[in-house]
Amino acid sequence: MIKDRDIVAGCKADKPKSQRLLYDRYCRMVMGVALRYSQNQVEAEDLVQEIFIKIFTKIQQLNDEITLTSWIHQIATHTCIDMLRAKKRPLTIPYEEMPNEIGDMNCNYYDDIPTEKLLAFIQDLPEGCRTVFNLCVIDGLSYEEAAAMLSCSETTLRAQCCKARKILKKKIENYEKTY
Amino acid sequence: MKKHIDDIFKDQFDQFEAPVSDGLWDKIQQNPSWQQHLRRQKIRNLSIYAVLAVIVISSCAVLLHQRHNIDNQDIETSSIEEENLTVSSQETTNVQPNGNNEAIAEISVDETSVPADIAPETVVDPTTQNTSNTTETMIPAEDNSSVVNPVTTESSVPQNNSVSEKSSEKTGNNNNNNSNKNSTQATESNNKSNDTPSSNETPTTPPHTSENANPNSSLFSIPNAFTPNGDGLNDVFKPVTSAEIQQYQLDIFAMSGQHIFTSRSLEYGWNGESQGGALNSGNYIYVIKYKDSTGREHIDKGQLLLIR
Repeated sequence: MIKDRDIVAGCKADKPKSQRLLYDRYCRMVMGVALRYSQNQVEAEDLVQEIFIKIFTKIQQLNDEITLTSWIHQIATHTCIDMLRAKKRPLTIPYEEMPNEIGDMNCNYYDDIPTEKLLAFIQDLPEGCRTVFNLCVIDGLSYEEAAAMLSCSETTLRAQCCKARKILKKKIENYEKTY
Repeated sequence: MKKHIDDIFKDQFDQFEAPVSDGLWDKIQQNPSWQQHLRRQKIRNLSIYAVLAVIVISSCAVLLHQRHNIDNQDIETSSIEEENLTVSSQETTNVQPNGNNEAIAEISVDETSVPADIAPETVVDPTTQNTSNTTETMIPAEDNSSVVNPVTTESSVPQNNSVSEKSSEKTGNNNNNNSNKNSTQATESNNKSNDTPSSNETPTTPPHTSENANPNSSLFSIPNAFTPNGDGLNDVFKPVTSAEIQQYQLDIFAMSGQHIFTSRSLEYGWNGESQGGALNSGNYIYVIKYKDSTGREHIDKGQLLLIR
């Protein structure tokens, strides 16, 4: 088993073999991130391409191989957000859509919903909601950090997050009812 | 069971991994921005190689050039040395007929590289070797000692013989040809006689043998003329010696007394030029100061002829 350190060293020397090894080892993780931030498989794969190109071109900036996983994760999320920015889809939501009350965010859940289904729920979310939900809930960033990344106000993020939760809760409840 | 919506997704997607379609790697390789990156890398590498190649080539060129120059210098110096050697050999042969002790001294110095102070004694050695040259040189030596007249050419030898003691001369000759012992005795007597009349000799020698002002002590073969016309023959005036020399200095003066040239290196001679450019044909004066291996100071003075 080749160590991450050797792979990184190879990638820093622009060796195609090492790049392939790095890709083989981390493509599934990157794909997982990309899927959450995108609407479908095709879009996710486009994102994965961009992410890996960025990883290979910026690997010189990686100082410590120990942080490789989190570094790749970071690159992945940043690339996803950059892609959304490039598409110029607004992250803000109109005032009338703002949720006026924060309801009960607990729902009946029996651990029987497959991950693919949950992923589909996320992917079905509106673009802005999805990004915020991914950043703030799943990737665990604080609203402050996320606001800096997305260059919008914290209030907007909270609202987006609320909206996402509401939609997701409805979907889960519907799913539980039908099955 | 109730569960917060955030926790549901956090738990499910914490280490979420998804399979990737097989062709994705190839897609990355064919991605335009990746291709662009590779192209840039290629250009960067090429430029690095180009720079390295340029550095290597230029350094090689410089080295070759330097080596070429050194070779040329070697050829030049060797040719100059050859010239000087021929000059010195010519000179010694020229001097020989004059029949002075100094000539013998020079020959003995050239052959055995013994300081001139002991030159009269070393004359004994060649005679014991019984070579034809030494016997030739022996004759004038005796002449000098007996007649105390240093200006003796080969042609004048018989005259001197006739003027001076014929019998002793003849016996000397016979002794040289026949037995070495007698010749050594003769030379010894020469030396003894030389020691005393040296004061008489010196004033008479300079006008005739201008090359060596201090006859017994000169370690140099000094050409009396040179031709700095660039034909590669005798282009540089340079005294030659095989003895060990310290604190050597060569000065050239015009007949008017104007200082023209100085050299502190045995390798570096005068090419017939001053700061004002090439000088005309004519007589010039050289002064050579040096110390021999025993630390004794010598000054050789004389005239030289510049021929263009």
